[in-house]
Amino acid sequence: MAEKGYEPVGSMGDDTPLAVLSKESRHLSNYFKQQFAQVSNPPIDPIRERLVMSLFTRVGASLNVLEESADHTRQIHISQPVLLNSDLAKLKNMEDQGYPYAVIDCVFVADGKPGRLKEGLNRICEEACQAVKAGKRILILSDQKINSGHAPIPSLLSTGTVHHYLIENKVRTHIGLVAEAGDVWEVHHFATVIGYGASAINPYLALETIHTLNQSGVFQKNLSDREAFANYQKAIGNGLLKVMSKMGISTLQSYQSSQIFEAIGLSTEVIDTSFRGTISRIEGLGYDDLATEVLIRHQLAYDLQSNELPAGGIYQWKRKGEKHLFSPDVIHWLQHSTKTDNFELYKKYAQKINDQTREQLTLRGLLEFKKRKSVSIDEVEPVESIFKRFATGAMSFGSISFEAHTTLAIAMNRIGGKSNSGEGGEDEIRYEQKPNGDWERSAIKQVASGRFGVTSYYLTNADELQIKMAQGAKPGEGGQLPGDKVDEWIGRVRHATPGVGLISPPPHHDIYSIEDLAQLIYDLKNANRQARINVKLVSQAGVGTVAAGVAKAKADAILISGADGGTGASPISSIRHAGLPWELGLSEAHQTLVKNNLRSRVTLQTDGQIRTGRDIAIAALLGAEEWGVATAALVVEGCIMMRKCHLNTCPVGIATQDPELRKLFTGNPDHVVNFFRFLAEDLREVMAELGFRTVNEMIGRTDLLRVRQDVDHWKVKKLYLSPLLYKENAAEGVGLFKQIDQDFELERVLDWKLVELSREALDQSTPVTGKFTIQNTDRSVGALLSNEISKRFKGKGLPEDTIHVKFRGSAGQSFGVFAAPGITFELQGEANDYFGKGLSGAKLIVYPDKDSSFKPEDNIIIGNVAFYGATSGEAYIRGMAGERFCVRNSGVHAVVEGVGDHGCEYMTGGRVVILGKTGKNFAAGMSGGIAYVFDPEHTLKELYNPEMVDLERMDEADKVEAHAMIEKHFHYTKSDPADWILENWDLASELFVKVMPRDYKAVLLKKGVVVAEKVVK
Amino acid sequence: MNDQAGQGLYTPSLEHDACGIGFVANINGNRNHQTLSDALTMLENMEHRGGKGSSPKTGDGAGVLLQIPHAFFQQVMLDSGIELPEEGKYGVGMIFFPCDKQVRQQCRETILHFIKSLGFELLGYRPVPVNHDVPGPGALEVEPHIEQLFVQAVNPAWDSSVLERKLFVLRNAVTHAMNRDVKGGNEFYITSFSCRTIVYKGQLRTDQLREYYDDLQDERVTTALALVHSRFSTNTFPNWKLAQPFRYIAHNGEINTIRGNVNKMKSKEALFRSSYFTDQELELLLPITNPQFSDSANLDALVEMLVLSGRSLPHVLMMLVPEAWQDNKLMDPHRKAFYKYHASMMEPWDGPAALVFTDGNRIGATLDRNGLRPLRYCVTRSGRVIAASEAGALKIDAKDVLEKGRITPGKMLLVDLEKGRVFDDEKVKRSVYEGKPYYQWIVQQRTKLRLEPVPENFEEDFHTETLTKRQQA
Amino acid sequence: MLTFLIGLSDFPTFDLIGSRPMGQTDGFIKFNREMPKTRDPKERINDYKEIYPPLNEEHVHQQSARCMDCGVPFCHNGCPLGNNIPDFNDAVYHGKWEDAIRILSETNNFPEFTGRICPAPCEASCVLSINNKPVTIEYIEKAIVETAFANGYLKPQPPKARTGKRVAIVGSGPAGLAAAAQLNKAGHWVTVFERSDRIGGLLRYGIPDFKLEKNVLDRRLRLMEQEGIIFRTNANVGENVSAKFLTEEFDAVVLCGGASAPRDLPIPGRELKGVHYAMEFLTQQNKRVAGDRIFSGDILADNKNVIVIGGGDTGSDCVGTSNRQGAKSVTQIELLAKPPVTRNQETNPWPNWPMVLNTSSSHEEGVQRNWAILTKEFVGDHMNRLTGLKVVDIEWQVGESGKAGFIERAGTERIIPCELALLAIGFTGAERGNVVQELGLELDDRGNIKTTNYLTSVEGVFAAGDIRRGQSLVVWAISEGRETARAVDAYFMGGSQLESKDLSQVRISA
Repeated sequence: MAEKGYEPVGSMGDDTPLAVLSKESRHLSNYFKQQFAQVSNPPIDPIRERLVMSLFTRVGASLNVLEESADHTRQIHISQPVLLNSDLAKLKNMEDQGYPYAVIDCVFVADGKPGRLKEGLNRICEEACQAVKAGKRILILSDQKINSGHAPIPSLLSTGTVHHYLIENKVRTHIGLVAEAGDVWEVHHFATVIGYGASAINPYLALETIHTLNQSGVFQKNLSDREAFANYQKAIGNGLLKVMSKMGISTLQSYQSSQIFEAIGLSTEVIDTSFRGTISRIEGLGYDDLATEVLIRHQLAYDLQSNELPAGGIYQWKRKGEKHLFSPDVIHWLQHSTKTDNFELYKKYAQKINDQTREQLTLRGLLEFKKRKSVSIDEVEPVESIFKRFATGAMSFGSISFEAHTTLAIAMNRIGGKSNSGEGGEDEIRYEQKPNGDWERSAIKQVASGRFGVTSYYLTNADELQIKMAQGAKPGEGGQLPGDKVDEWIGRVRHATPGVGLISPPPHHDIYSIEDLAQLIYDLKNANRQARINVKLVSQAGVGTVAAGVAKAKADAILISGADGGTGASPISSIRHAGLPWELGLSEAHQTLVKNNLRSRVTLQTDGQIRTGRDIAIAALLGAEEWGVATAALVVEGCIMMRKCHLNTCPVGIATQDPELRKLFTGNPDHVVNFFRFLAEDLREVMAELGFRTVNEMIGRTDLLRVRQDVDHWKVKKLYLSPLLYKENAAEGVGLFKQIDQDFELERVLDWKLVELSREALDQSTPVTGKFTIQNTDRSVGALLSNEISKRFKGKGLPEDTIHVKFRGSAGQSFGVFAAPGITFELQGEANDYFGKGLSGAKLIVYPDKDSSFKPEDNIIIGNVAFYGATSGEAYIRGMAGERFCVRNSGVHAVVEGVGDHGCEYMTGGRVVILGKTGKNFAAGMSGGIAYVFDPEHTLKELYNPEMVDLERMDEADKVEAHAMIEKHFHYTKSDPADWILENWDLASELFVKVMPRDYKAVLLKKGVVVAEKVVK
Repeated sequence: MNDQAGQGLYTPSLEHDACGIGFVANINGNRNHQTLSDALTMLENMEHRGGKGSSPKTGDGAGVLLQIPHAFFQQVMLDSGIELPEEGKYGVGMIFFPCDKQVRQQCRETILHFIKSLGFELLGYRPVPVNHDVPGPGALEVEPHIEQLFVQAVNPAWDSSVLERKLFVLRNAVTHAMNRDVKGGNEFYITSFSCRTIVYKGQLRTDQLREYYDDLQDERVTTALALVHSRFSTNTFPNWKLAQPFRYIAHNGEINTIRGNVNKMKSKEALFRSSYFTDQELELLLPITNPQFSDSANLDALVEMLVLSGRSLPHVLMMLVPEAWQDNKLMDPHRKAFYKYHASMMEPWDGPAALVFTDGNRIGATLDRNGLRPLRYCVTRSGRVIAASEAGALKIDAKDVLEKGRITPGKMLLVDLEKGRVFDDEKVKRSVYEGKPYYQWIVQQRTKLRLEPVPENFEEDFHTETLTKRQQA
Repeated sequence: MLTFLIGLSDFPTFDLIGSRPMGQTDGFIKFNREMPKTRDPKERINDYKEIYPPLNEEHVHQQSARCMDCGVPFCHNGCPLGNNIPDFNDAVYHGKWEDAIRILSETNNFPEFTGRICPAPCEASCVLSINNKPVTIEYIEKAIVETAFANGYLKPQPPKARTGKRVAIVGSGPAGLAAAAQLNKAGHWVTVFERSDRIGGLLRYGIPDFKLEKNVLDRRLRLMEQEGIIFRTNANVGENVSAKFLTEEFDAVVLCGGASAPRDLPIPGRELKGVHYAMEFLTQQNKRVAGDRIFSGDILADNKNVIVIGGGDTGSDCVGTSNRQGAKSVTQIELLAKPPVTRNQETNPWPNWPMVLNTSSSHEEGVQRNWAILTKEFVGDHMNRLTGLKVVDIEWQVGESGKAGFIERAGTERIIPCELALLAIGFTGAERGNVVQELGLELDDRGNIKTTNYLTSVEGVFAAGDIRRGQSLVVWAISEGRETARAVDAYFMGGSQLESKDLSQVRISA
């Protein structure tokens, strides 16, 4: 961080234990998991939407809120919360400006006697109160004064405890808290200490470490200490923005003391005293136990005279250090057993995994089955019927090689399970079955925030459509595929320009709340009525209520994904500190769905480090009737857990697009089939043992699980896992697994009339026309019709204008969603949000009602987030659009007369002509396509986001292109501004600014296309 | 609700909701039933934004806030022999009573006690006519007994703004006492208690609201403004209190920082002093916020407190939900100073939000800094402003449309029915930020750490030799 | 000293340094495995010096770049010591030799030995070897330690404090030395007893100088002495030093006597002159190289036809030594069938040790190798001198019981002329000398000393190395010594902070 100014990145998830299950002494912050937004509120993109975010913080007293005076603002303002030593010195030097301070030594007596930590905390609380009474304005909580007799109180603990103590005594607002902390160095530490009340932190030990590292020449660049510190501040700042943004919080000021964490394994006493109000469902360590954690380290430093820091190994498997589930022998047995079809060897693998699991690595390892009358294994349902409950993980073509991807698909299709396309489209050649019966088509098509390659045809070719709300490895965050990884093939599949980088935004820009998710589900159901709609959530506290909401939004299936899984690359603090193991999320989701009588309407699925029949049995008993396996399936294909997936250097040809490395791929569908058969057999053996004949009987039978009593570890003994096994008493007639289909009320959709109208077009490609009135309750118009077109005519659809429909009125949300080639919709009136979402080749025209008299170019005619993820087609909009026009557009050519903020955000292709005003942050994250903005007042340069684009003049080719588009716009809408511009083209064309992504320009340059000079600003 | 306290892993405090919102307002303040009826129609056309439970008949909640229909109340109360004072001189409380008769009796006694002790006079109760066959089965199980309470001030000098503050004290005093002293009293809930506005709501589907309350169908019920809300919750536990609108706002969104905001309020409330309330009154009022309530309810409670202690409604919303100002180089420095100043006393209630708000005379809407929730509006030639989550939810004759717009991120729209004018963002905010010398205050009082000199005696003091030891510890 | 450890996570360094990829991420694509050229066999058989020329730093750098820094480093698992191989590879790649030797020394007390004579199971399990050639781990290891010695990075590090506990170690082979080093590091007083005239055990007398020059051993022993370890030679416990004396005088005794009882070949003619155990032969030569005179009768291969019976490493050492002594011919025979050139993926997949034809440097120097040969009889002349070895070809088959067996191939019986036959067919187990009897130690089924967590059946007496687990590799002996030291330390102190290969360092003693 000090070197480069950003946080470390890693891949393939985290299979180390929760802090409370760890045999190591773990940092107190590790007991806290970051909360993140999914479904009910959107995360923010802290990079491209930086303008709404702030790291500003303040120190000083707050006065009576009910009144206003000059004194109210007597405070010290700090631009970001990482204080250098010089900053702290400044703070201590402001006594005579009216900011007296007190330093409190946060240490406790290190003699190991019970109660010492609590004593220390009581003392510092008392001292804090004294300081307030003495009129101090700044309280510095310092752990500097440690020695052989005194151990440090974790800064998080001292901050939280003092913060709450002052609140209880109603004096918190009199004073600002600053931590002088030796135990704060990574983003998560800052996040927790700020989250529990500190305004700013001086990480003196981290700074000292940087200084020393720098002196010893560790950094590759030649840095001064000052530069290294600045880089560190920047890295922490950006990391904090990410932590905040993943919860949808914009300002550090609000984040401060917002306690957006779930504690796992702390006692009620600790929570209520030091972290009051924090979600904490799994009871655990008390103060004396926390003291032990500290004393282990203290002992290491002072008693043992050790001169070396122990090797960590949290992230990579190390022979010593933290335990990981995938150790070399386990990988070997799994690969060899599946290659040689050796069930006995698989059992050896499973035994080892289960043993490791039991060694406290996971929550499920702490559970055991209750004895029950067994049945003969012959009575247990056959493997074939279990197969359909299996899915493989969502990994995109692009993150893994074509060979690795199709091998999984073929295997899953052979057994009737489901493979997952991942986010990134799917090559249409995979939709046709091979002569030998093998099928490379992924049964599950994912719809993620980037919407890459999501077309009507793609959606039509699915048995299940999965909306990825969050990703286990990095919930609440987006992703990025750098341009150099977008080769011709990936570019084609993702409907993107090869060489142009692709950004997946943190939120789905059509899901900012639960009713928006309901709308997307409705869109997708219209786009493919046969497909099951699955919503993928990541396990965290509250996922149960979200799941209930999702069930009410009419999802058919919900996937509770464990945060420990995941194969993608992400910042290490996200891998480690956000999200929970699936056991907790699944159990909560099942309990909450039963409580709400919604369980029988949805299939519950879970995934995340599921590797053996025992894992599956526990998942079933906790409530999941379907299970996903990702990492283990990759290992069967040859993955040896390099954890270098983000580097394109996978030496076994899996996580790479390098043609040479891909040749090294040795995976085989047979092996994968063997693996799933082993899993199913393994599960059947457990079922027989437990006396279950069918999987359905098992679902939610937590009464057959109990917590093991034989675990001999001081931390684990304090854990109280009963909430995990709580069996929600179902009301009479309430099912515990999916039995009732959701009612989408599709019979009401306007599209049936459109299909009726289009009969001849669908049968013989004969052109048809029609007229309809429309109102806001007519939603997702065009999706169902497009589904019919895609079924018959595949991706190419019908010839232009074959189905021409005129509407009058106010169109509901998602007008023209996924509309296929050959459709032309002409709307007289107005439309709501998500106009032309995922447009797949159709033409959309909208203009105001002929009876209206307002000036269309000054009034809004379509809502927010138009053409989100659109891949191709044309659009002409006589009036203004709302926020995020053409967000993540990759191919649509659109003309509009004004747009709101964040126009053309993340756009990767297509053309946009804007004949009126644009809002702020235009072209943020735009990597491809071109926008031509009519900018007579030269305001665009103040409004655009310069991160990825340049502003240029139009060259002749541009002029020809823009002119043609504006001509069509006039032709379809009779637009006045278009008319004027065309009439005065010589003048007007000079007033256009061409917004050109640098990525895209580089690609064009490579191809030898002449590019206009940059406009000098 | 007690019986929904966490069992297993389910954590009630993590529930979420979202919704459709909107309002209809007559700019010139003309009252009619059509305004209410149109607002309800608009609400019904946003049914897809509301949620339904496992039974399609049970909605997640819907409601409407309107001006007190004085003429109507006068008439119906007279029918039962009670004469109401002139408009603005009495308060109407809309009360959800517990179903248990005995508890209800205790409630009435508590209310009476505070009515007397706080300088009011009880005029009478009116059982609100409702249709019990309308709510879904889940909602019906916990359907409250709904009555309206009419009180007037003993002191005739109290004008409507004084009365509004006193009613606020009365409502909070009663509610706190009920929670504290009466067993089962936590089911007691006052949806609104005001001399200006009244809220009809319940755990209903949007299309059930009108059918459930007879009043809403009564042509005599007139208003110049009506604010509606439909709720989509992540659960369907029966609960009538969670429906919106609240007393001043309806909120579509999520306050992500609620735990921190409410925690901080605890110490802020300890400092409350106001020229608008006596210390005894403040004592009865507190606590304003409560970790048990939803984020929206807490926000409403704070808005109410801040408005009734002297700030204007736009002012309060600007301080609680500020637009993005830090990095905005184009912003007027005085406007920025307003935000800087208020950052000293109040952190943003941060999260995606569309808010519609009213105090009965003014009605408006605003979006948070990210502007992720939609809010479209339309101004008509016939003098109405219609705002809603969706365009077209209320059909408007195309010829009548003067302007169609949307609320943009961080911006505000205000309709002042007394002045008969529509204010855009700049106008409404300028009147607020020019109200006090915020800019001077900031320049005089604020210290920027960055600009402070490093003390002369400061020296980087690294003890490399003990570093490892301290890293370990 | 500031520590520099990559992979730290609950400690600050890791996060502050960031995720700079270790080494070169595409090094394995760019470079091939290349070992340094050995000296010409024709030249090197004229001396007993090591067969490798001095290091080439650029070459080491390039080879270290091939390490992929695997997420699951199989090499850790392959290495009996659990060496942090990717970490030291990275340090070498970045030219940080001091870091490299520190990382290496954490898990391996004697990299200069293993860097020369280890068969490198780590390389067999290197992930690159799935479809490529493994990283030259052993070569890099040797480069690290030699660079460290050359630059003076390895200095004596006596413990800061002494516990006052005294430990006797019996046997100064790799296990004994490793145990000594670790126990000394933990602050205990250590005395090593060796029955021979020099310290080093198998390292001293079992391994020829051309594989391990003895000054390499001596410089390590000097360091250990400077760190406070006391060595007693000519102290044959059970003979001239009583075991009782040890148990009385010391707080703990660690038996590291090895498994030096050689396996015999009881066939007719075994008593002939010219039939010797390999170890006798090798030991003599090592003493000669050290400048000693041999009094017990020279066993020499000069001008003889030599047969080495046994195809393992010791046999290979006999081949090399015989050639250096000027043998007329050297033949090596092996009972088992000739292994395949490439591994059988079905039965012998990666990352298991590859059962493939292995050609050692000694083999390069000239030898006739034969497989699937059964020895029938030593044939001698009237002077009882060996003149030949009667052998027969055999064929290996899997019998009905599933067990492999062999049958003789009719008509293949023949006599191979030879004047010297060296038995290199392994060892039978712990030397059941007087120590075992004197202390009354229990043995296990295979004749090794029985232990529970390295503690024998007698209080305070521990055992480590071949004496405990049977004949094995030097690297295993070091591992045994280290683990036993940890057990002894824990025995004294109630817990141990010494490194352990599969236990993390920070642990709760409560």
